[in-house]
Amino acid sequence: MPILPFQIVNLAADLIIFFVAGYYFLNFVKREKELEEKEKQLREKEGKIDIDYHQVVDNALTKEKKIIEDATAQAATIIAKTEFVTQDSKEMVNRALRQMSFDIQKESDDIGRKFVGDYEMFLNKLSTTSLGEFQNTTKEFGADLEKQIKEFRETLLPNIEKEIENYKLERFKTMDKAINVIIQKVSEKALNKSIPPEDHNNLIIESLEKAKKEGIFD
Amino acid sequence: MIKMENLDLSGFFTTNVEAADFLTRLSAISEQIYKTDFDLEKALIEQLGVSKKDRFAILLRDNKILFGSNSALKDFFDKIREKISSMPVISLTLAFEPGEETLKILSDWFPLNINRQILLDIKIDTNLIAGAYISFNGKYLDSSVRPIFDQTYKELSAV
Repeated sequence: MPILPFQIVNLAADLIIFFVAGYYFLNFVKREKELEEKEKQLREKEGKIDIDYHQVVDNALTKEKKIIEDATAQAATIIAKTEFVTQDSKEMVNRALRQMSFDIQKESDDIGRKFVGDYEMFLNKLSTTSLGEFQNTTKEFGADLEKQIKEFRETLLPNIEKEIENYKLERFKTMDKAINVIIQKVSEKALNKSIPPEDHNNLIIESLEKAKKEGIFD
Repeated sequence: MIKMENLDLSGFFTTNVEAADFLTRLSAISEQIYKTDFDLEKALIEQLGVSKKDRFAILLRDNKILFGSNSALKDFFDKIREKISSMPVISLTLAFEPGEETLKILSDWFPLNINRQILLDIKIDTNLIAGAYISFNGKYLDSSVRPIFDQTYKELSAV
């Protein structure tokens, strides 16, 4: 079998593969370079954007810091002013209150003194008047009572004593009568019951005999 | 002709109340006299009782009234009524309610002692204590124990 043709064909095939591989390899390198280039461009762009961003952020931070510092300063000023006003006001109010308290105390003292005085005067007047009237009334009442007692002793009492005595006598008489009546009734009943029927009949016959003698039946 | 003096009614009643009752019973008999089935004996027993029926039969016999003669019987009843209404009434006040024995003594005493039958109007007053208060024809006698008791009591009370 001839080896040469085969070898030629084989070599030709290898050459083709080699060229194709080389083409693709070159193409690959070329693309790699293009990618690197693009990457480089992108990095540059990115770096620029990053720089801008930082700058904007720094500016913002700077502004913010300034604003805060201004606000703080203003707040400190306001607070300081407020404290001053507050202190001032406090002192003013305290002064006013002290004055008011003093005035009220003074006024109340005056009113109290005046009231005590008036009340004392009123009480003095009242006690003087009432005591006088009371003494007068008591004297009148005492005199009247004494007069009544005297009258009672002189006129009414003897009459009452006499009436009581009469009443007692009358009551005794009534009681005596009542007792007598009771005794009498009891005696009558006892006597009536104690007489035997025969004696009753005899007494009736005696009565009839007596009536006959006296001519009652004529 | 029935004589009033022959009518002895002493055994039938003593008081005016008993006499009134006796008359009522006689009237009841009298109303039956002219009935066809009238039986005098039966009627007397019904109205007066057995004892008084016998006494009444004696009274009829003494006055010669025949049992069968209704008209004579009616006249006799009228005479009895007349006799009772003409009897004298003696008021007798006693200290107690008289029993049969006392009434018998009283009814016996009057015919024997005053020779005539009377009617007693008996009243009760325990204040008399005993004895009797007698009143007749406007005359009276207080023969009770009361005056004696009052006198004795007065004397004792004074002591």
